[in-house]
Amino acid sequence: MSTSPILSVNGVSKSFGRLVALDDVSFTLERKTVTILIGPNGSGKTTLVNVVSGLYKPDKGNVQFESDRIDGRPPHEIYRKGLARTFQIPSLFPKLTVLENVLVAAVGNPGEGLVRAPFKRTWVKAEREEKRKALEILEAVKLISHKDQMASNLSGGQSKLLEMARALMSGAKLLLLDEPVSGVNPTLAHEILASMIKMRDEFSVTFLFIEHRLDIALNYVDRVIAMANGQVIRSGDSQSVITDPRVVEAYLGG
Amino acid sequence: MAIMIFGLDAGLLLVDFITTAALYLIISLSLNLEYGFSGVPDFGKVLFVTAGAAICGGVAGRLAVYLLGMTIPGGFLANNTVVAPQITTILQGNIPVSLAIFFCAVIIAAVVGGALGFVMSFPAIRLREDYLAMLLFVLSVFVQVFLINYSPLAGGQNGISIPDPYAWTGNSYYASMVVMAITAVLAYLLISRISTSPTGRVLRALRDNPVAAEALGKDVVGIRRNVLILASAIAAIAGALYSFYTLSFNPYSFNPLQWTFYPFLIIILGGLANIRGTLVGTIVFWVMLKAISIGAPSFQNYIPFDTVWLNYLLPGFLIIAIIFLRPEGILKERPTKTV
Repeated sequence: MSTSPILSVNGVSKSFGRLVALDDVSFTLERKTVTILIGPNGSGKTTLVNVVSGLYKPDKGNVQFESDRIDGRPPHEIYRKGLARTFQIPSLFPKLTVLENVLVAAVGNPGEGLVRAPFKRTWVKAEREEKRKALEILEAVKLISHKDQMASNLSGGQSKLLEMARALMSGAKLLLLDEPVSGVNPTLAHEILASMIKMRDEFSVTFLFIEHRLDIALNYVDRVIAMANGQVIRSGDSQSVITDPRVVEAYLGG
Repeated sequence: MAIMIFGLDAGLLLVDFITTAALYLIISLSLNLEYGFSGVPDFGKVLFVTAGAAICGGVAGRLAVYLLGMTIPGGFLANNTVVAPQITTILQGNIPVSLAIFFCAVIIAAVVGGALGFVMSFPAIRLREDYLAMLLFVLSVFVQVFLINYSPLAGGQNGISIPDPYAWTGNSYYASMVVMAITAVLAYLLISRISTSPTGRVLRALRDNPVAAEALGKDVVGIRRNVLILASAIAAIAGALYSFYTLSFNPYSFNPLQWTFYPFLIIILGGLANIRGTLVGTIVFWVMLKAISIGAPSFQNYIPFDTVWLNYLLPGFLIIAIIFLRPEGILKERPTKTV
């Protein structure tokens, strides 16, 4: 079971009117790997992430997460199965501290609900456990020194880290990240990507992320999937993919 | 010898002060849960207090007549001003019926208040903050107009007299204060416990960013609905207790200034999303208001209009001053300390 792929996308196609955004896309993700999805603008990367996270229903093909078919399921159901995503623009709770932002993301906290809230005995144990887990995650993403600061005081890059921490808190096993280091200073970009590796190793999380800054990102990935015109044109280790003539042509050619 | 203030016994004034301050503490706490924590701008607070007070007026006398097996030609409502004092005399020696009237009226008020909160949650989920505030304000005025013109429930514009459920204690003035104070303590404990639980954190989160809260799997609609139900039930209980304090209900007594604007002023003054702040805000505001009404007439010679208007003007100036000088209030919002 643990050796089977965590995600498999099988023959997925998606069109918007006459525009074919995804054309028979198939790939699998192995557990505990970091995969980057590359390709020129309009090659279908974000559409693919939207299909996998449940925002779009594919026209053809299917998506398997662990042992379940998830294509066409609503996003919050997919989220609760353990597949979380972040967006290009972080969406935090500005008047909550960094730690609280992470704690809010916990799934099924018994202390949430007006009936049980006044009875501390019924939730205090679970809350302690959630707090311990949240601190561990903040340690991993190097936000621990900011834990008592308001989220509104974080920089853009730190906000992205916090979004990742929040997604992890939900117990996500697969994280889809849309441009996690775009618009971020290179030093922090390295830190974000390094914390991804750390989360892969410490929390057994699988990552699939879209990124254009290949110079930085390629140093951290296990695997590259290259797309062009709605198709997967090549996948494999970074060296073999970026030297593939088809990939070079997709980026540089007309 | 009793200390006198303007010919009134200071001890009696103090009892009135404590009772009404406790009343405002209950209402303001429920409003802070709604607005400070959950971002629901309940500009119709007066509606839920009035509903509780009216239910108490409608239930108490009739229930007493029924439980005591009295037969009144023409019915209780037509003769309430005469019958209610008679019932009070009987209740002096009848503790079971007194308690039955008290608890039935308070519980029915809470249930009706909660039900109204449930009804109000439908627009609350669909409307943006500013439109919701307007809608709730209009509905609260509508309910007042309805109660003034619809006499079968609580006597319409003439109001209704209420028998005294505290008569058996020998001093219902003090008993009323004690009951109000105990209720305020219970409301404080309940809401402060909610605010320091994971629920308090979720409320602040969905207030700040409902879309993100939804994306993190929170039932934003359901949580908001439950908050409105609870807060409205608490406000209705406060209304019912106020009716038992004044021993009458008249819809003209319930205006948005005193029962919506004052609680808003208290929670903004004390600090939004801070329960201790509401306690401080209530005390500060209530002392100030009483000081104005007692002290202002002495300055009549220096003020070109009747000093009674200062009761309206000064709270207005106060809220402008807070928003300019200290928008976070006396005690500002703090992170939810759960464990």
